[in-house]
Amino acid sequence: MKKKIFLLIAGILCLFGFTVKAEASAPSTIKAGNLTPITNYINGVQASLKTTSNGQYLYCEIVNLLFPRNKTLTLGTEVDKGFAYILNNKPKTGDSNKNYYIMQMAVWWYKDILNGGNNNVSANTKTYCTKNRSTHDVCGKIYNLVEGAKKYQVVKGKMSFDDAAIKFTKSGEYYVSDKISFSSTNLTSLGSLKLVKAPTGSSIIESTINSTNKAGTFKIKVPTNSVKEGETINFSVEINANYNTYSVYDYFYGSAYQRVIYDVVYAKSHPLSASKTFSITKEITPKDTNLLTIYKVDQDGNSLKNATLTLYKGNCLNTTCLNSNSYASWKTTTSPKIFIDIPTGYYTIEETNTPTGYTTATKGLIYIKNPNESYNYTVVNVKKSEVKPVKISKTDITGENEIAGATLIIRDSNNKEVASWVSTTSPKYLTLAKGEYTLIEKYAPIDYKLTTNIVEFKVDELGNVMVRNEEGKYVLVEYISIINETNDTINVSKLDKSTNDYLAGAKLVIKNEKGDIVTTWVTTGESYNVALTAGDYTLEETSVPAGYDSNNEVIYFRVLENGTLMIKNSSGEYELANGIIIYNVPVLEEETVIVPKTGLTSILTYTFGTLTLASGAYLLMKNGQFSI
Amino acid sequence: MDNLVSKRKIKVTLGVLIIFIGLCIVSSTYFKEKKFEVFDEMNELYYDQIVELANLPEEVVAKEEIDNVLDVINEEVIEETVSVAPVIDYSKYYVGYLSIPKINLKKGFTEIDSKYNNVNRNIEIIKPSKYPDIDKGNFIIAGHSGSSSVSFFKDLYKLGLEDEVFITYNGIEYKYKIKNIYSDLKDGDVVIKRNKDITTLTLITCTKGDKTTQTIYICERV
Repeated sequence: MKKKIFLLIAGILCLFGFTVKAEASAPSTIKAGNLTPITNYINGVQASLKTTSNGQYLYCEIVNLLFPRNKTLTLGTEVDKGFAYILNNKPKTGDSNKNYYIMQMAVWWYKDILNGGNNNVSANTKTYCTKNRSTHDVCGKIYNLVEGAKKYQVVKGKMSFDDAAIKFTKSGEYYVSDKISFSSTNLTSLGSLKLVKAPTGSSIIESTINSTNKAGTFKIKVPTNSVKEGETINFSVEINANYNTYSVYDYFYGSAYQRVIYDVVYAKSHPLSASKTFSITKEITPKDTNLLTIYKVDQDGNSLKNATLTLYKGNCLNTTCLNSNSYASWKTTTSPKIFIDIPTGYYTIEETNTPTGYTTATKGLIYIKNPNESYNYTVVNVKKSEVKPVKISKTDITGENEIAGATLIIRDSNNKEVASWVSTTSPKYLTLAKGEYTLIEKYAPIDYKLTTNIVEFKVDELGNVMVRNEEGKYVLVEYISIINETNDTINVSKLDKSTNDYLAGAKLVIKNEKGDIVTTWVTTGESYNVALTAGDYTLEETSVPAGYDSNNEVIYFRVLENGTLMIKNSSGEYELANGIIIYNVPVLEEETVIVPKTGLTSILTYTFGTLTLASGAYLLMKNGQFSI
Repeated sequence: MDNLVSKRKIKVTLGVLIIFIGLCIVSSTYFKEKKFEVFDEMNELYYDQIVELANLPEEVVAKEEIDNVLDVINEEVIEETVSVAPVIDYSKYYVGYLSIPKINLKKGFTEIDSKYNNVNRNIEIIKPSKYPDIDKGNFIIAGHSGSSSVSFFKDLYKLGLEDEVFITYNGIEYKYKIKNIYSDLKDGDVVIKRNKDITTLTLITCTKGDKTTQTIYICERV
């Protein structure tokens, strides 16, 4: 009993092992069977049916040699790939003998092509079949197989992800990629998309790729908390697949016998893989840090050391500053004093010890408005002398902030240029001879309008200054002030197209006519004001708010010298505008509903009614009741 | 001879009868349209009364009172009806109106579960509609186009974007504007594309001149 069970198991194992081997590669030997004459489907051209002992077809390679009937044949070599084409495209005529005849003829003909000659099939037969391929069914099939074999090339499987750079956009708690396309050809199997070295929690979403279509699109989502600020992560997506190539083998017994092609096509599977790498960088969010830099200079703008300055909290410009309000006190050096993260509010700066040879600087008021901005203040000491230097202050409309970058010119009464300089964040001190002068601004600072009014002033022998006012009278002043207004601002609103509500989260960019980025910002729940100099600009969206379709419209606009805004319309003309609105349309959600048929006409009714009327009229007319 | 005359008379009578039948068939569409107009007028009267009752305090609106009002309506309109109050099929009465001034359309609609809520009789409310008083809902109406007596949406093709559409429901008029018009294959269902943050009215009918598609009008509440 035990022996029987052992034999049974061994038998099953042998059978299983043999099956696997047979599928994987050609057997080392086969046993030929009989040769049976069959009908000559082309007149005068004979072929016989040849099989192995177990009935598998064999195709002779060279005609007029002995068929190795009932002999054991040895595996030869892999034959030309064209034979694989022939064996993979067997005719289906419904007559197995005819099918075999066509195959054998095609094998002979193709072998002739490979060898160069007409040993197997005569030139006459080939010419006959070529000429009559459209009318002679057998000839046509043979011809097509041979032509197919000639043209056949081994096709390798291919697959790839698209080359486009993939952008990841923040959506809630995830970075979500653009759609990524995948395509393939000639694959026999396709594995699943896999993320490699992606952060935990990452996944592939919205994939339309499956083992049937072997192509499609997908997206990747990555948790935002998996990427640290300032860090770039790299990961990839991979996919594995297989494709087949096909091989056919011949067998032989001896040189006196026919070599035969064994009618089995062996598929060899080839692995294939594709990958695409992605990277996500999380930008560093600017931290709320402010900076106050206090410079100490003389009237010529040179750093001045050994003065003692005290910074008091609050405004004690017109009162005595109390020690209890002292925020910091220091002795100046050639470097400015810098305060980081200074609390917002008003501060008063006072010189508590003046360097020798200089007059004590006046108190100054500093306003730290925001926790994330930089502020500068300059304490200026003027040299003691009999003739006071003239102080020229270039400020914004607050009169407190010195503006750098303006080109200023002073001319005397003969219109001769006396001095020319570019303003800095400190006032300019000039020692001028007694006389009348004019001060003009040649170039405005960046982001400011040019000041066109001319300041007329007089200087006496002690350096006292009198400026001509609007009424034409000269009045004594401590210093000359020339003020710049900021450029007019352009108002940009990002709105929901359907509700007109402000949209937060869109990234907008303004470029000048050269295409350089002038400014970029992320929209909030209110409109955005931007100061622009005269010129042509474009406004476009580079990042879309979540839940909205992207707006690819580029808005062309122009800012005139006087600050007027003009927007280019669809006709290409610039039109006056108060502001710019750039809309986003919400992503429309789709819902499928069942509906009844909604088209109904009365044409049939009218036709039938008219025919009935006509019939009645005809009947009456025939019976003489009326005539037309 | 008499037999011949008799045969001729029969033929003449038959001819007259056929002409009469033909006239009836040809004018049937017209009469059906008139029937619907009368039906609509009746329903409008009824609708106004119902809305009036609905606006009274709840405890006052007893069933008997509604029945009384219905009796009054029937007495006023149908003079022949005298002593016996008719059995009223409440479901066939309109619960609201669709009106589109641009194409001079005013048409009532019944409750969604009414057997009269049928495109072959009225304009049809399509499930899963939400009535106009539901915020951010979608009220979907389908209607026939073409030339039949129930082709209430035959002129819908004349509408364009930003045209106004009104729905009156529970005595309140809701104003909509057409924001999107598109077509979908006539295959038994349509895809409605809309902003679900906005209360929407969707009108569906066959596309004029195209037997293979239906046109969908997406209207948003303003």
